[in-house]
Formats: sequence, structure tokens, C-alpha cells
Amino acid sequence: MYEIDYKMTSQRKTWQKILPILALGFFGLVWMVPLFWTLAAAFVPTTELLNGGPLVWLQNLHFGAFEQAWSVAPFARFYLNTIIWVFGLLAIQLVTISLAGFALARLDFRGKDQIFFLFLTQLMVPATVLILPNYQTLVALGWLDSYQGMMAPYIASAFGTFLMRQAFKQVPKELEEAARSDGANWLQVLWHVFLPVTRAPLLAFSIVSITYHWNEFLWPLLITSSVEVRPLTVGLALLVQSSEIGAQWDQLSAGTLIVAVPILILIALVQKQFTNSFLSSGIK
Amino acid sequence: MQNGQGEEDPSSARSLALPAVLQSGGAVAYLFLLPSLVFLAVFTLWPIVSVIWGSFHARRGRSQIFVGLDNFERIFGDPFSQQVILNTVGYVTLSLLMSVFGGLMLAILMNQGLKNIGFFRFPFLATIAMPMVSVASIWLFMYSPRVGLLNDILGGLGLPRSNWLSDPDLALPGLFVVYLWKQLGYFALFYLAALQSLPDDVLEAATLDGVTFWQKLRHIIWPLVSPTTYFVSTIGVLNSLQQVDHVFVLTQGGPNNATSLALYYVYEQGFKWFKTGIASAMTVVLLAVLLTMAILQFVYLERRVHYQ
Repeated sequence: MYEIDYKMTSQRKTWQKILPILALGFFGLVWMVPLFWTLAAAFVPTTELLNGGPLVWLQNLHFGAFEQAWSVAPFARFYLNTIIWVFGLLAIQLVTISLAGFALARLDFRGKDQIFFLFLTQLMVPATVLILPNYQTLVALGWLDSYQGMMAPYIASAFGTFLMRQAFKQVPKELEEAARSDGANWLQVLWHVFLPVTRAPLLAFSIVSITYHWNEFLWPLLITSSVEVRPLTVGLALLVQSSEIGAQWDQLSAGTLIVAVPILILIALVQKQFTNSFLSSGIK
Repeated sequence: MQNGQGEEDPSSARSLALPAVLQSGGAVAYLFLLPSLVFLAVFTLWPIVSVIWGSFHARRGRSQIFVGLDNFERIFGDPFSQQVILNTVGYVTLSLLMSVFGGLMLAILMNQGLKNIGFFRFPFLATIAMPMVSVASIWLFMYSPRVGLLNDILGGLGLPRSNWLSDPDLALPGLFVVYLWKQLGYFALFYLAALQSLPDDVLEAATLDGVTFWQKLRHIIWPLVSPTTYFVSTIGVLNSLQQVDHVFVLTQGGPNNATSLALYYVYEQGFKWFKTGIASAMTVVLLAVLLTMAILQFVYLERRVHYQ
């Protein structure tokens, strides 16, 4: 591309290409050390972990810590709870954001600006900050210790609504008019014309929502009190607190992996999609 | 197309294309918005109103009495909560610097060379996606005085070992490292996207002219990514104000209140000691900070729209 192609420069250029990659690789390895350490701790008894090197570790691999962690805390139930609350919420959100996004993008009505501003408020004030008053509201509604209580602050999603509004705005008017002239009502237009061509933003929203709520801790901790509702994150934190004194590190590490591994697998599978989704979450 | 019928609001003239269904469109719109609006009203608007009301009241037995600005005086006057504010300001400032400078440096590294280096990016993406509770448990193990890897490494290098989370001077930086480990990749992603949208020849040309990396960074990259810097600072502050899960797992605000952050303080006051007035007042302070940031962002965007 450029005329200057002396040996020196090309050698320098090679190094300029390789050096940052080496640096990134090294940096990435260092970044992974805590994760490797946890992995080792979950499969190697704590005494061997401290005294032996990797060779000793390999000779002493065991899976007992997982069985113990699984029996100490009802992780199976916590899994079920997390799945119900995360995916139940997502299903509701997909409905609310599609409907609201469609109204804001394609319909005309009085008070649109005011309603738009109302959504904007939620972007400015994240639900995490409002734990105290929202807890009081749940008490009044009798929704403590329930799935709907955990979901409630997130059912209306300004981020999702704006994402869908943006996507719906780009759908050609002709498609909509054709369906309308065939006598379809707005709900049918949304379902048959708009949603099929906006799968990408729906997927992007889903990835962000799943990751965010799978990982959520403070709100579920505050409002849940029974094993039947508590999600994985709260279960893990309780396990950590109970085992900290006894310092059963192999159990603790196993518990940590039980909670984190599904998300790690998801990321490995859809790394590119994940990156793009999180960039779009930056619309905030 | 431009045949708006009667009641049409002149401000929305761009969407006159479906005049026949305007009336029904309006009713449908409200119906479609209803579910979101109900939950926005109950879980976003009402809590803001109620927490402001709560911040001027205190619980006496079963009733709430009006106490004026007492709660706010307590927050800013009491040494305990003063330290919480100081902790929070320090923590947020550090994370602001980290998200901008750390994020940019990591993004520059990620942007080098090969087009598809997903393998190299995975470590930084993985930590973003993991629950903070898991991340904190991992670091509880790293920091452990007896079996922790950190002390092992320091000992191996001949450096003094520390009881990281029990030392008032080290505990907050310790929490910050946990946050850094988890979130650095998140901020790098935004810079990476910005760098990749720059034209290739801008960066290439600078390399050939023999300028040093630092000159290139300061005079070419830094000005070009400034909108991203603004954006990353905003979400950096928002992010660090909201993340307290690691405080729960690692320190519970201790030792000696050294790691209590604003949101953790809200939790302690409101849910452990039932001082809802104090907790509400701290929430209002947080809301004021968030509102200020939103206004700053709005002003910044307006300026860019007008002058660029």
C-alpha cells in the first residue's frame, strides 16, 4: 500500500504487529489466573492444592467438592428458580418492549413526547438505586418472596423499548401499508410484518437481559426468603458466608463454578453476538 | 400523502402517511403502551416520589414524622456516613480513571494485528459476563491469608504478605481490583468499537511518519475517540455506583467501615437497622448525582449536535 518497503521498516513492521499480540496474549493469561486457580481448587483437595504442584494436582483430581456443594446448598432448586425468573421475565419483557416500541415508532397519539420522557427517566435512574422504595411497594402489594416481585421493577424496560423503537423505525412503510390494506389490525401487523424482520435486536436484547438478571444479586437477596424462590447468586452468597469460617475452599470453588459456568459457555458460543449486544446496551 | 385530517397535531407532520387510521391508531397506541406505563409508574416514578418524601421523615414507632433536613444533616455531618461518602467518591473516581485509561489501553491492544482474535478477547469478555457474586467468591479465595494465591505469589517474590481484606488501608483497593478485573473488558469494548470505526489510513500514516506510540496516542487517537471517552466516563460512574455485590461477599462494609459504599449504606440503614429516613436521604443524594450526570450528558449531546 505504501511505497516505503525497506528491509528495516518491514522488520520493524513485523515486530510492531507481533509485539502487541504477544502482550495481549500474556495479559489475557494473567487475567485468567484467578479463574484457573478456582478451577484447580474445585477439583483438587485443599491440602494438595497448597503443598503440591500441578503434577500432584493431576494425581489427586476428585469431583467430591461438587457433590458436597450440591448437597450442602439446594443448587438444583436454585437453578430452577433462576431459570424461571430470568426466562419468565424475558418472555414478559419481549412482549412489553415490542408493543411499546411499536407504538413509539409507528403510531401517532397525543402525549407522545411526555411518554417518551417517562421512559427516559428509567434510563437515568436504574432500578438498583431504588431498592428501598421498591421494597416498600412490594410489601404493600404482598409480593415479597415471589417471582413476580423479583421481576416487577424490570417488566417495563426503557432500554428494550428504545432498541425496538429504533429497529421498527427502519422497517419500510410499504410493508406495513400492504398488510394494513389487506385488513390486518395493528397487532397482526406487528406480529406478521415487524417482528419477523427485527429478530436481531430482539436477540441482542435477550442476551443483555439474560446476562444481567442471571447475575443479579442485591434485589433478589432483599426480597426473597425461601429456598423455593431464591436464585443461584443468592444461594452462592449464602454458601460463601456459611463456609467462610470453616474455609472449605474446594466446596466454595465448586459452588462458584456451578453458578458461573453456564454463562461462560453461553459467551464462548455466541462471543461475537454477545459483544455486539453489549455495545448496543451502551445506548444507555 | 400530505392530507392530515382535522385533529392532526402539526408537530408530528412527518407521519401523515396513514391518515385513515389515525384515530384508531391513537387508541391502539395507548393500549400497546399500557403494560409498560403501569410498571414504569409503579416501579420508577412512584419510588422517586416516595423516597424524596421519605428523606424528610423519620420513623417514630409506627408512624412517620416530618423532620425537615435532619436526615441530610446526619448524612453529611456524621463521621460514619462521611466516610461512606469519601469511600464512594474515591472508588468512583478510581473507576472513572480505570474505565477511560485502562479501557482505552486494552482496546488498543485488542485492535492490533489479526482481524479475528476472539481467542485473545475471551478472558476479558468472560469476566464481564460472570456474576459479581461468583467473581467476588473467586477473589475471596485469591485474597485469603492462608491459602490465597496472591500471598503465595508475593511470598515467592520475597514481598511481605498481607491480610488483604482485614486491613483498613488495603480493603477498599482490594475491592476495586475485583471490580477492575470484572469490568475492564466492558469499557474496552466501547473503545474497541470506536477504534475500528476510524479509517485505517489515519493510524497507518502516523506509524510511518516515525512518531512514537505516546505521540500517536495523545495527538491522534485521544482526540478522535473523545465522544467515546465521554460516554465511557458516564457509564463508568453509573456502573461503579451500582455494583455492591462484592461488598456483601468480601467485607460487609468492614473493617472499620473502610469499604462501605453509598448503596451498601442504603442497604444497611434501610434493611438492617430500619432507619428508612436516613436510607431515603442517601438514595436522594444518589438520585441527585444521577440527575446531574444526565443533564451534563444532555448538554454535551446538544453541543455536539449544534456545533459539529
